[in-house]
Amino acid sequence: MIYLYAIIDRPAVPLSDIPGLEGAVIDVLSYQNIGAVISPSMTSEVPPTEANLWQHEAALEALMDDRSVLPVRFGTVLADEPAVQAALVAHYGEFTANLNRVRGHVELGLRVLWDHNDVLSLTPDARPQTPSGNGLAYMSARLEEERKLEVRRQRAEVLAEGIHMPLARLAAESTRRMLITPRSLVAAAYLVERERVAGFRQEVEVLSSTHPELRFLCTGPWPPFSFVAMSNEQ
Amino acid sequence: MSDQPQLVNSKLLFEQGNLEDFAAEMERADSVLPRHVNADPEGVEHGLAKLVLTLVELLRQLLERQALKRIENGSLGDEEIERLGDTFQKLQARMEDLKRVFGLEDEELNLNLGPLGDLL
Repeated sequence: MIYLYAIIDRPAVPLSDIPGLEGAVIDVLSYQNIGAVISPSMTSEVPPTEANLWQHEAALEALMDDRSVLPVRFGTVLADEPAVQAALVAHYGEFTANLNRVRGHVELGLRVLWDHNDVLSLTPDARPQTPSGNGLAYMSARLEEERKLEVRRQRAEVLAEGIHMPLARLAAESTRRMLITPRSLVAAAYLVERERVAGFRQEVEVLSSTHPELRFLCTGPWPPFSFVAMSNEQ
Repeated sequence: MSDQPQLVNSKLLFEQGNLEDFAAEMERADSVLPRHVNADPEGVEHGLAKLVLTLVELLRQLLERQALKRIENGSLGDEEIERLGDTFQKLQARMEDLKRVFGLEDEELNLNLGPLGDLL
């Protein structure tokens, strides 16, 4: 079986000494001007241990040093080399388009936490009078709850937009998800030119000092995981 | 790999301490919907119950929100509101029972619809 790490351009450039998963030797299967970075695998289900995940990541990062990389999700195993070759042929157009998009760019991640209870307590307390019936009282209470949630959503939207916009301006592309948990105000990914990483970091610092009530975490540079739409490999 | 901590640190572009808080939120977000129904004999019942109850809860909330919208528009009379409220209250109580039976917490059932909330 074959473990797949990434799709790359410049397949003819020799690989620097990159260790593969479980000590396997990494190789490149090329097709025209792209290649698949692979190593032999004894199993179709590579255990997602911390060590293995970092090994996969380390391989991708070593590749990123001197070529464009489309990272493949951890644990992707294909039957044999012809299957990898077939995937390269079948998705050639998609792969080259994606490689062109991410060339010279890295992914940066941003997570911002807020204290949503503060926001809830800021909302006006317009508790409706409790009507006589049980059902009426229940619906009134629900309505009130819903209004508070709406206030919270709107506040989150404004805050998230104020943080996201200046950062998105520094990026070629970005994705943003709001309130995936009540405390997680925003979780975003940015595709940023390598040379602009320092500037991006600076902007995050500025935003964090403008919003002392929020907590910021910016990570990277990562391979552009969030910006590659890969079809499922067979 | 021996240099994992170093690798982790090299990935922190900007942080303000308390990484545990971020880790906890990420775990929470991850657990909201089961990626796979756990197929081992002990886990399968719990996994399926979680999936089914999540869907039932989603539908209950959808219906409830629709009713709330109609109340806000003034298109429901007091009697209808009373009847609907009573029904939703009973549904909620039944859900509480089921959650207890399967040992599930609100958080595990994705009660916060997040971005979906805007569609309702």
